[in-house]
Amino acid sequence: MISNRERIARKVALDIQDGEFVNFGFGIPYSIPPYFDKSKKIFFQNEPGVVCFGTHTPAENGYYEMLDAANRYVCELARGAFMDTPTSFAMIRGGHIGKTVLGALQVDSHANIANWKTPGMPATAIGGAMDLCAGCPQVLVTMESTTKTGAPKMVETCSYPLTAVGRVTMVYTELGVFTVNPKDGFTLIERFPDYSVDQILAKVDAPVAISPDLKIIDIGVPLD
Amino acid sequence: MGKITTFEEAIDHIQSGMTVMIGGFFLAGCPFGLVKELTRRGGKLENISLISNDAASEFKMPHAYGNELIATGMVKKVTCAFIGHNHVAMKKIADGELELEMQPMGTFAERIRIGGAGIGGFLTPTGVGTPIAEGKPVINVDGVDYILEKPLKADVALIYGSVADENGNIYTTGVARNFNVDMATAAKYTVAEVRKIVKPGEIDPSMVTIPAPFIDAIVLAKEEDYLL
Repeated sequence: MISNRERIARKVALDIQDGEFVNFGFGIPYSIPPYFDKSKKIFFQNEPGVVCFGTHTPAENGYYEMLDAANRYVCELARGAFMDTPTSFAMIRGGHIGKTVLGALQVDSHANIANWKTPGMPATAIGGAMDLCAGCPQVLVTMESTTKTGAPKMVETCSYPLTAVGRVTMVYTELGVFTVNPKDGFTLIERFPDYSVDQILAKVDAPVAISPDLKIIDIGVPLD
Repeated sequence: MGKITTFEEAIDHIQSGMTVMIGGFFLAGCPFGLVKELTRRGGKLENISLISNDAASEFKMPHAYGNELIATGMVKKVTCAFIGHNHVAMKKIADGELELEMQPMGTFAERIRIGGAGIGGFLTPTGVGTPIAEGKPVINVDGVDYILEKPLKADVALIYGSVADENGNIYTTGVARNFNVDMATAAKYTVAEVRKIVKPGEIDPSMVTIPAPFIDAIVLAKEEDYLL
């Protein structure tokens, strides 16, 4: 049986199109690239200052000049570019990277995202998430639908400190795929075959519209 | 000769109460030797304000330079975008011994860039409507809200370069450019730790990533500082 995180990663990998420039955040997003169909050419943008096409390999001893934000070597240099970090964020904030895929603690009906801090705990990182949300036209959130204690992470109004207001466009969970925008809230557009619509609605603490064109997801591998 | 100096002389420019920038993004482009030398001044320096993307996080480094630097107690404030790997810093923050200014990374980067460029502030959409905006002016331009963010500057910047010529022109490969390029511009005194020093002219002028006027001193890295 594949994990919730793997099915989410495989689904996003299917949906990202050939030729897209994408920034992948920590968590589930970092696990997506191995699932890309080899025929697709996806360009990875990474915060320290790199756009590249190709594969990542683990770090070697003593040579740190080609490491990305997750300590992985960035390869295929002939088809890529390096830049300083302010330029990297000009690329992000300026809307030149079409899509970002992020993890989240909560997403709400107003297309708000909370992913950097839980109340009462000191923040350990903001990283690039706030800039990615502010700049990227498409903000995809990947997360399991509930916390470890069973609390829904898709809610009507985020209770955690926000990362960005009204910027999320899609939510991918182990239940299915949702669009979201501040006007319409959540709409379920695709569902995994092992969850009924009623089961899905029970795990979302917010109104959810059902697309008249609701599709069943096939990620090409058995789910159980 | 000229700008080439020793780790000891370079770090002698740092005095108690100063603001110090340290370049690097985790392992990439962190001037390990300079951080080590600064850490050796533990007990002699105090009230240092540190500006560093990840607080010189060790991030799987057995040397744990960032942890050791914070553990000396010389740092009173950290301005950064990421600190999660520096467990010494996290404990000191929880204990109220270390002040933290956590920033969105793009805001952090741009504040350094404008600090070095003589610009008094910039307007960013990043963080509008979030706790980051609290206490800062929000300015509406043509219907869009932006936060006014101010420049970051330092007394001393410790940066990394791949190759320097003796005049201080620097070429840096790959991801190691990160914050090093702009920190070099934003400090009164900038020291570059480089893996190789060459004669002027040996770096193609078109490939220079940091031009000489931004560099005050050069130190040659010890290769053993860069081994895991």
